[in-house]
Amino acid sequence: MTIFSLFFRPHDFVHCLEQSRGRLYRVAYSWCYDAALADDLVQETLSKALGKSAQLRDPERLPRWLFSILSHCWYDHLRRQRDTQDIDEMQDSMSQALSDPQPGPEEAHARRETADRVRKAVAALPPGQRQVLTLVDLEEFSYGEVAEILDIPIGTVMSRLCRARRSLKAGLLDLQPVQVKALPVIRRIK
Amino acid sequence: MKPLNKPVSDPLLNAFVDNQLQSPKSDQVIDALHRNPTLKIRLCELRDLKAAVRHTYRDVAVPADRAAETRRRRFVALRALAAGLILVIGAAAGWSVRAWTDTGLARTFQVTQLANLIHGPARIILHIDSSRPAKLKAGLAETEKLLNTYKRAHRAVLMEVIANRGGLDLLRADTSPYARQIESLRRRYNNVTFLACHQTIERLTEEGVDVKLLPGTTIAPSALDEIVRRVQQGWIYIKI
Repeated sequence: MTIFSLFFRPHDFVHCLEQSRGRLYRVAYSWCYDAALADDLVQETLSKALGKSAQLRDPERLPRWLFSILSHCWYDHLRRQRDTQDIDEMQDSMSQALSDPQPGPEEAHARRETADRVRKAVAALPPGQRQVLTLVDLEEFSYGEVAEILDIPIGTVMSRLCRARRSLKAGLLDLQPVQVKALPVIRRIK
Repeated sequence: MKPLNKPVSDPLLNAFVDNQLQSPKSDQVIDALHRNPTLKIRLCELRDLKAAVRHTYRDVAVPADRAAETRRRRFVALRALAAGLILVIGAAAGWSVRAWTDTGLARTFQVTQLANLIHGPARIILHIDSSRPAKLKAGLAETEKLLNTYKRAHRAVLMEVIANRGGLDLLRADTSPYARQIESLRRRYNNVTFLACHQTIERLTEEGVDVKLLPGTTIAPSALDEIVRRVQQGWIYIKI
């Protein structure tokens, strides 16, 4: 820490971190679909943010900075699960399981719940697509901001978003097949 | 505006839905929507999908923050560590930490120094009690460095440099090796005061020394009393 950060750190910096917790949690949950893991990721993010507070020179960048830290925490978690450096289209264990579901009765009931269907569809996306989709749709970051948070080119943001939405659309349509009902026949009685 | 000469691609339509397009590109997409009913259906599907994703996570229950208190304590501890670092830093320059024997004073010091760190402007009292050349040099150097640091950061600071016992040599016209530097500091900064301990002046006078202080030096009745008063007011105490 520099002398500046020690003497000049705004007193409400911790307050700003805590205010961001809900947003971080919702996005972390959308990434991992695991409440306990999402909470751990957020705690780790806030803890790292506290230790690295001197790196944040522009308070306006706080949201992007926090989500960038969250993203790295998430990547570290995935790498601990899989010994691979290429996470661009990496399938985590969750998305693999959900991409080929074997539903039971409970699952069939859950499918009728729209929110749960959408969550499962999002969870079935590869991690890279899942991140881009949720940062754009949940947090309304611009494509440029998402590129900065995830440290990827803006073109990659656009292509992942495109593929994510195509997959979501297909997955949600598959979950609710169109049923053609027989129309009643109206007969004129003379 | 030239209309688009090819179909609206998925990436372009996504960018339109996400408000990432600027004119004239956005105008071209709007124009294409007017002329193409199929494109409108694609647009509606994308908007519905986006709304579904937003809606799905809107009500996700956020668990209680089990680490909030730990983070706050850690934050205060980090700043207290910083205060401690200020006191002990510069071991090479001869700084040291003086432990107050008075428990009440020490407790007041710990509380007030944290408050001083958090709420500005900064107030610092720097204490020199040794005539060793390295100590005198370090005291003046750190005074100038702190004043310069705050000035460059456009932050307010009040500094007092108080000398007693052997440290009074810094402020005596006949012994100070830094008379010109101290005068220069006074001219450049109006937020630093140099104080000489009256009790030390009295003792030297009783020993037959004709004590003449540098111009602009203020006399404090007692260095110890002045330090205690400032610490209780929330000033940061730095001992050379």
